[in-house]
Amino acid sequence: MSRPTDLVQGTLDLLILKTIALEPMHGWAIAQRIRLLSQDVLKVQQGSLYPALHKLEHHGFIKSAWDTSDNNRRAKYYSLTRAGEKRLAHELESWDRLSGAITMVAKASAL
Amino acid sequence: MRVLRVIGNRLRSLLSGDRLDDEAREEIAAHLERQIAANRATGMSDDEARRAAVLEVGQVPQLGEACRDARGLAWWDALRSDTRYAVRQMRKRPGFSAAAVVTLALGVGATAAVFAVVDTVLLRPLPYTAPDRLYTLYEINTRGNVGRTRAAALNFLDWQQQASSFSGMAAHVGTGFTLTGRGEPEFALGQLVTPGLLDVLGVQPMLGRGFQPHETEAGRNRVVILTHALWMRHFGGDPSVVGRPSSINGQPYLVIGVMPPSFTYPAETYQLMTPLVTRGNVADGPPISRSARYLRVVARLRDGVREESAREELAVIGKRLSDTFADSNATVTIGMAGLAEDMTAGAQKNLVIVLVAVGFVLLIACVNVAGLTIARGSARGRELSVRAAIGASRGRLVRQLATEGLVLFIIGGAIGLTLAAWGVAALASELPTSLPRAAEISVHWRFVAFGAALTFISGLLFSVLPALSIARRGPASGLAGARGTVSAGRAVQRTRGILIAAQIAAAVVLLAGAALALRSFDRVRKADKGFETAQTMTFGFVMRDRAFPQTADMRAFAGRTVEALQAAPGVEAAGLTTHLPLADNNLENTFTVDGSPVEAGQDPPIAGVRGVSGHYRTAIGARLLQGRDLLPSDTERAQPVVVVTADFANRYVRGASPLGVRVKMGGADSDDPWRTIVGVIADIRHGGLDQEPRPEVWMPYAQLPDDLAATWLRGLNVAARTSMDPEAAMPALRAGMRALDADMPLMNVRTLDELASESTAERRLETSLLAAFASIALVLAAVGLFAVLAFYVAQHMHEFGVRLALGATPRGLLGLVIRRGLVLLAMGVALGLPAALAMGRGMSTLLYGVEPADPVALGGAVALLSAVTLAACAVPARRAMKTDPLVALRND
Repeated sequence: MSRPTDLVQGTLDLLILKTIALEPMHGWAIAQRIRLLSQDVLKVQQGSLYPALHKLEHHGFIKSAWDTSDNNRRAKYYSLTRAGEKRLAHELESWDRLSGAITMVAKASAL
Repeated sequence: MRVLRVIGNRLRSLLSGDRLDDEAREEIAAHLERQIAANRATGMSDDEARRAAVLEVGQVPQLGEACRDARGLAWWDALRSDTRYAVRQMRKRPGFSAAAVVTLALGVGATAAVFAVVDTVLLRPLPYTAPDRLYTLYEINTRGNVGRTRAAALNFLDWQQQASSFSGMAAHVGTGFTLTGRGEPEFALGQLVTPGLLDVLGVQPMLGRGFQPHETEAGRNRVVILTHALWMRHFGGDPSVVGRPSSINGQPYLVIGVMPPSFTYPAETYQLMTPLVTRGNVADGPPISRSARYLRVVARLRDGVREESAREELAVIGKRLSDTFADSNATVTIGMAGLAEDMTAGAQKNLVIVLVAVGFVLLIACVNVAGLTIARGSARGRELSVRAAIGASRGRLVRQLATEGLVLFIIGGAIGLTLAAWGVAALASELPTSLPRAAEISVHWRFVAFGAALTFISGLLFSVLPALSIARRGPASGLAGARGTVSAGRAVQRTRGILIAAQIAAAVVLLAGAALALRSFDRVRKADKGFETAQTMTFGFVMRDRAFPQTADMRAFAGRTVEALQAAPGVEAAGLTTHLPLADNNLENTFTVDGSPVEAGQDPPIAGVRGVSGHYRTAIGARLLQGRDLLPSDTERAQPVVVVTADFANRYVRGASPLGVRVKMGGADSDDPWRTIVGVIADIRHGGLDQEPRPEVWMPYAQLPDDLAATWLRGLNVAARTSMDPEAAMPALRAGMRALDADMPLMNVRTLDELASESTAERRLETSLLAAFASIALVLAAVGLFAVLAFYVAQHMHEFGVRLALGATPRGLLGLVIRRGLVLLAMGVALGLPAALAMGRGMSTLLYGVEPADPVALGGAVALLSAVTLAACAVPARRAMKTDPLVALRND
């Protein structure tokens, strides 16, 4: 399978961080929530979800804990760490800047 | 905080990676279950739901792997599996692996061993407090060609008093002591020291105390500090010996201290210290004057004072002394040198030569292994292509190949280091005693660190580079033909060709160096020493002032000794001398020659002074050229006569014949009596077999000036030429000496042959090392060339078959292979000869009678190398010749 480009990888991290900023959840729930919040536009490639989660955890931005899920199965719940909060704020800011710049360029009328 | 978390995560991944894998799999499986359930909820059948879910999410094992990679330890896993694979590959090819490991063990081991010696002698700071602040001071006499001398006692005392740049100064001189009172009298070398020595060096005795200032007074100086070695050997390590008297030189000396084992100043051979008497009645000890120059001075630079300011101050003090004491100090200045550099200066050049040589050996070993690796690698072309096809990136392939090489290096390096450590420990005692700080050589953590670094760096270099060259080809090439295509092999061939040429070049350098060293050693052995070493026994004894208070007693004893020795069975000729050649013992003095005054700007005559007795000249086989020997009739009452060497006569005596010319010691106005030259002997190489002879003046022992004899010449050496094996004659000689004086120990009992070989011990060691390294280099280069040619022949079998089928002769094929070998040889020689010339010039201290560009040595080295490489070509060439075209063409 093709490796996601850096841009996509970065935005996936942002989506994950934002999603679990609201409340800790497990992988399945994160995927569903992103679909829900984005009104189904963003269908997370589920194959890249778990590697992204593990990478974020490895770098210390999120932490995990095993718990029983709503269907009485064991599931790993992810939540933000302090460093993760800071990272989320940072990512949001750069995303704003980037998308703002793209908008400016896209909407610029011919000179 | 994040950092801690990250570290914790990494550790956890490292240690419980498997458990984390299981958890991840469980997590993903759970997710899959939910997706399947969700799919079923939208109406899909079980199978469809599962398939759709798997398509959506991915396979559990693959996802598990992706997660594992995301945990950031892919490199560690790869390393582990690569290492396991590498070890397996090694076991599959025991021959290759053994050859590579042995080669590396030799290279790394030899280099590490040499480094251990170089590190101790040259690099490690001396084992004293702040050793970089320690300096040695000496006198420099600008008159004549005297140059640097030791310090005179009164001069030293003035320096000590007047120099404020130094926080402390001390002086010492070596002499012999007799330890009596326990069985056989034992002779030991020791030092007379000024009391501040231990403070200046910054060391403390292990037991007891150091010296105190009042102990330099005559009568209060009978105290002694033992070295650890003497304490163990002679006193059995008994701590109660401190505070009790011990009999030294027939006198009771109070043992006040014992030094720790690490104290071997100034050399391991000195075993005890007693104070130098500088006040009161100094007649018993060495002269405290301004002209007897025998003291070695060590000084500690004061904190905050720069070396240049100290030098300036010493210049001022020197000027002051030369103005005040013009007789003795007029042309004397004070010199200063760092203690460590001064001690090791002589050894430095030679050690560097050996280090460079062993570096070449290591280079050859590494290149050899790299070449072998490349050869094996290109034979694995197919395996590598398959790996590339299923997804291994080029970097991954390189990593795997490099790991295989690195494993070889680590194993070879570990074996080499172990052998070297054992070797250094075992052979440290065999090193020539002239090597400074030899006693300190031991296996040290720096040795291990150096060895490990060496292994890793050369391992990385010589595994990665071959790996890069092997992995250069794309995957298709290896899969296409049954064996790698010839064109792909060509790049590999070129690389290996360059490597082989480099090896041959290095071998040329080492062979040339060894050849030069061997020729020099041969020249030294064959040089005319001026005396004969065969069948001659030597030993020494000292006539202490207690037992021989007057010079008359000394002369009488000398006379009786000669008679007794001459009468001993087996002795053909026996004699005495104050200074035996090659024994690192010399006394030179200025002379005045009657009728040959010194011209302005010329140096006054300087010659070695020897007091001889009996048939000394015959005993050592020196040749009489003119005139007569010194005879027993030349007593102290007879006319003063001397015998001079030809060098003295040629240099300093004008006129036709030196016989009858008169000389005297000292300047024109000295009160030494005029002495007549009655004989001329052939030049003697007194200082060393590889040193030019210096002029000598032999006087009858009985005619030596009284004060000179009483102070400096109480030690006499016996030379006895025997008709049988000298060792067999020794008991009779001992009996003769014992009959004369039961308490007198005999020192340095050895044959003149042994003495001669001891004097060349250092040269011999270096030459042997160079020869050993050159042999290793030769073998490795030959093996390397053989491997390259064998591989070439194997690769080109098909082509040979074609050539034969098209009409080539087997001899033509032979020529092909040989030509290839010769091209490589020529490249290597062309590369190596300039380097060999440079090496020769760098070796100039080792060379004797041989030019750095000596054609015999260089030519011989190249010839030997050519012969060996031609032999290495032989087997592959013959195989090429024997190619059966049918077989070769069929085997596609």
